[in-house]
Amino acid sequence: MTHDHPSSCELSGDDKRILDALVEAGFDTDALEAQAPADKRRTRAALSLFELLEDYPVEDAEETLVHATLARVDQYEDERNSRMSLDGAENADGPRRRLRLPDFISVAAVILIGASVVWPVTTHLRQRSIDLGCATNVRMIGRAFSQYALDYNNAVPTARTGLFSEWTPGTRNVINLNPLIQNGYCDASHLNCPGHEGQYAESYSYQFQTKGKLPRWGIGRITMVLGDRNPLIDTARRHQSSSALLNSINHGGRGQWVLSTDGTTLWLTEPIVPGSDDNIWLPGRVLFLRSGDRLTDAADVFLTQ
Amino acid sequence: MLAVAAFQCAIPGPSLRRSDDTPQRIMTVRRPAVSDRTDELLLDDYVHGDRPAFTELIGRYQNQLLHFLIRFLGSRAAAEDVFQETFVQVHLSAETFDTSRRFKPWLFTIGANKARDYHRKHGREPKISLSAPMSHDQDGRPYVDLLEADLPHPSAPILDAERSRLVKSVVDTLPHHLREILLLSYFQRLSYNQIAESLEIPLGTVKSRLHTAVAAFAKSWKASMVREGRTTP
Repeated sequence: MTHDHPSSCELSGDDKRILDALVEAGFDTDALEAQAPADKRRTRAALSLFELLEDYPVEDAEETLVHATLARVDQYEDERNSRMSLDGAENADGPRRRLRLPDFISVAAVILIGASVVWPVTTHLRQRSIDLGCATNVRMIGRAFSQYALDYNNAVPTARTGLFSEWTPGTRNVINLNPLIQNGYCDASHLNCPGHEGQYAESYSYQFQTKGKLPRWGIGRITMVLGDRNPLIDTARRHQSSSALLNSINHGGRGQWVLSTDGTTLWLTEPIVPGSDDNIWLPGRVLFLRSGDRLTDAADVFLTQ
Repeated sequence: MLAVAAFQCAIPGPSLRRSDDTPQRIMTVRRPAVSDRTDELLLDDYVHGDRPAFTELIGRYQNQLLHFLIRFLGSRAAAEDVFQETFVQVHLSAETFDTSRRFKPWLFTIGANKARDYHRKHGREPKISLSAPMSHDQDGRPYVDLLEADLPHPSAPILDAERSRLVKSVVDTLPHHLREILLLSYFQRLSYNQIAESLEIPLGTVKSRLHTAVAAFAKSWKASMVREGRTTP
């Protein structure tokens, strides 16, 4: 197999002439009716080549693309607005007039009224933007899992040093997502939930990777493998206890996105696997995390960063 | 019947109101329904705070632009990402858009720029990887002749899925700058001048790039057909 430089490909002079005419006619062969028979055959050949491009496999957009795009625009605006500061400009026309108490009261009243109206609206828009942005990320990660599974016989990604027999406060299970980025299956930015303000790589939690209990992607029993950041890990690392039903902090405690091994994404309003009593933040049936906790079996969902 | 509806400004677009707005425009002008408006009118309406107009604009191009980006980038996930980036840029540049010009070439110019940025950031430049038998001119220089390129015939014994796979493998090996010009000329029906304007390169460069792109595509296609045993060298 050889590698040719594209410049080594030259079209014949006749082909160049026909191609120029075809492009300028907007690929409308009716506009080239006056061509000689030989040129018509050449035009047909050129057109056949272009028509091959239509066989390139493409799928139509999903319904969520428009909403995800709007959310991305909103998110951009939110970020831009948060960067903007209200710096007072110098008055070029002369010395500033000293502000009096009634001025302060008027301005404060306007700001308060404005804030009381605008705040709930912007809060809602921001939450919606974060939720949709996160859903897009999780879907992208799901696609990366699918590609990875195709290349590695339905396996889910695991780092070389990423298998743990038991959980300890020092466990960094999220390193098992590194192969997705390192091998180009997804972009690092997709592993960053827009609602998470903290360490970039620990935005999402991942199924605790234990030898012999690894989930399989796309085959066998459907289980959950990835979700928003596990809030119980932080309290356990601080040696504190908290309710096992806490939702992820990524979405202000309203719920969390999770990804299943069949590629579906789901919004859970409580951290429980639907149809069971398995808490996705905890291994087995424990009520709070302790060093040394282990998965009970391969069906046990325990998402941790 | 031309459907008309009162123009409403229910959800203002983000900080895009122009300073020359007049109350008359907002209160009394009757506008066609969103789905009946031209692309250019929709963008203008969005600039004046009509968010549903932007939603309609995205929906109108979701398949066309996404398909272009999938073919250009070779990955659906990347294409969706760049699709969103493209409309963020449309949102940011909407006020500078000259509504006397056509929206579609402008949109695809932005899309192509964003896709090129994506390639620069993530991509590796592909190489044409297969040698195919070629004709030679009187001076012994190799050239491609489309009449001899063994292009598919409707009765050719090749399954659609297989052809799709082969086309993808061939297109994905074309260098980005050639792939881009091939797609813009065929799918967007852009003339040489429009492509030159969009990509901000000289007209002569556009022509020579398209010639090279077509020759490279024909050559790789023939090589893949030979490799698959679909034709003889």
